[in-house]
Amino acid sequence: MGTVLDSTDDLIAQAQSTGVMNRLFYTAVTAATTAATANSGAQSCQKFPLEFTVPTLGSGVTSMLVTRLDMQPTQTSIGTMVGGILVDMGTLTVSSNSFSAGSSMPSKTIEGESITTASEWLFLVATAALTATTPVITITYTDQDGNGSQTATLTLPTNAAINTAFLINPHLATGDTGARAITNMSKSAGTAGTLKVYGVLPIATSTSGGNKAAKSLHQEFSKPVVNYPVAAAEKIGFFRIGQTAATDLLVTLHAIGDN
Amino acid sequence: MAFTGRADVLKQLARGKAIKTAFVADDTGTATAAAANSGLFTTRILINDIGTTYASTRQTIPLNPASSPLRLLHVAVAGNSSTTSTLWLARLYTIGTMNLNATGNQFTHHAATFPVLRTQFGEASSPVNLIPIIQITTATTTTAAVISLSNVAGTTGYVDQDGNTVVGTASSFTMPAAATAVHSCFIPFLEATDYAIRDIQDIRVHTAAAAGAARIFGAELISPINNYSGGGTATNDHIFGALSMNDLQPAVATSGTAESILCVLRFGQTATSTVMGEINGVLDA
Repeated sequence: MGTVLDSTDDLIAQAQSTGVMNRLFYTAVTAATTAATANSGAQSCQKFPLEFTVPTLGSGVTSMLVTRLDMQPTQTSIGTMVGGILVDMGTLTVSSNSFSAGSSMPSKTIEGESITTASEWLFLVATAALTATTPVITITYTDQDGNGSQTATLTLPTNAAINTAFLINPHLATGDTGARAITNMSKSAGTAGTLKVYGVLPIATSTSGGNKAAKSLHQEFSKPVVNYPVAAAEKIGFFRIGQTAATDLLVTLHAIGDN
Repeated sequence: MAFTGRADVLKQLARGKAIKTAFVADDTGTATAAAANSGLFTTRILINDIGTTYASTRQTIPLNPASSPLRLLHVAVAGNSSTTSTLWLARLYTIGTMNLNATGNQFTHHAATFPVLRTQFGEASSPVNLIPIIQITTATTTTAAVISLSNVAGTTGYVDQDGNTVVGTASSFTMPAAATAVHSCFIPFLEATDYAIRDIQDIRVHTAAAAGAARIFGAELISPINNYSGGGTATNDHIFGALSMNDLQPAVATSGTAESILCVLRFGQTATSTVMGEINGVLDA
């Protein structure tokens, strides 16, 4: 049997033979995050602390396909939710200005071809609050074509709060659209805090109109987006774009195994 | 290499040769509604919230710094307005500015030479047809200004969709109120059989206000986004739903550098609003 997306019949047969995974998550950004500026992504973003690690999959199941991912923030203002495969690409310890490399973006089989992916969303996240006055962060990366030593530069607002995320995409080098790997990070100022770069392969996105009782999104089979197979031990993370207020988040996930 | 089908597009997305962006766009202040002699369309320009200072600094909806063409795949938008209106994703090119507090030729063209150009239907450097939009940047006072897309000599006005120089009808546009609010936007009438412009050459003020100024944009409409009341979400799929993978990157000026922003146009309401959205696009293989 091939990839579940080959047909709805495949999908149904896989659900019957290997079962389905259903999960319900609760997570929260418990304190307000820091608004972005034009030089730090131009969109205020938040990363939720919860990172769901895909468990060991059963015998004969090579990956899982998320068929539904509902993300429902409880805070009332409008926002865009992004849920996706989360890759920790590297860490900058501000106090010592030291970089430790993380993982490169994974290879995925898409439409029968093994592809070296690059980030679709690329975020710089304060995983510990910064003590830094408008620090300039320089990120050195390998781009979507495999060219190394590319740089993106962001000027962050002062003292970014924990869970604040900054969108790197607009600040990539001219002509670039994503990163395969992060090879270095450095800061111009700051005495405390931690910054991580996360590459995200989106599983689902949801644009909320501000009614906290609604606005979730199904898996996006009908959209022109990639339905990434998710491997065991990979992580799924969640971001909110457009707001800084604290919020709870409820997530439901449904997935089917692929062989 | 040209796309041969859906699979090619998806592989390109997985390679990261695509763009993902989300945005919050809004405007400020209650506008003055259009009237019968001021274009019939009440228009608002919603600009990226962060980085924008009305009306001097306009921050475009951010995209990756990718090359052109950057083909639109999908756009989804939700709004916080309780009233239904029509939204469009659009690229606004700054054509120039005008004074409304003196009569005569009062238009100053941007340094870039229009028309703006892009490849259309296989023809490179093809002129892009634009919708003219007048945005009030200094509120008018005392008198409802009257203008036309023409000059005093009656020799120029605008360049129409076919490249013809057209002298606009005298007194064809009247501000809807003596006190027309800042940030109000209107679409001026064109001459019969014209539906777009490639450039504006001059604007004549027939009746001046005591104060007032405006900026003139040319709008390239990229994607319709219908807004439903109550904050609903509208989605536009530009492959399966529309087969119109428009280029998100700006067209280029005939000479010089055109100034443009990617934004949301809202038609039909005077109140402020905020919209939230996401845009996905892909580079050619």
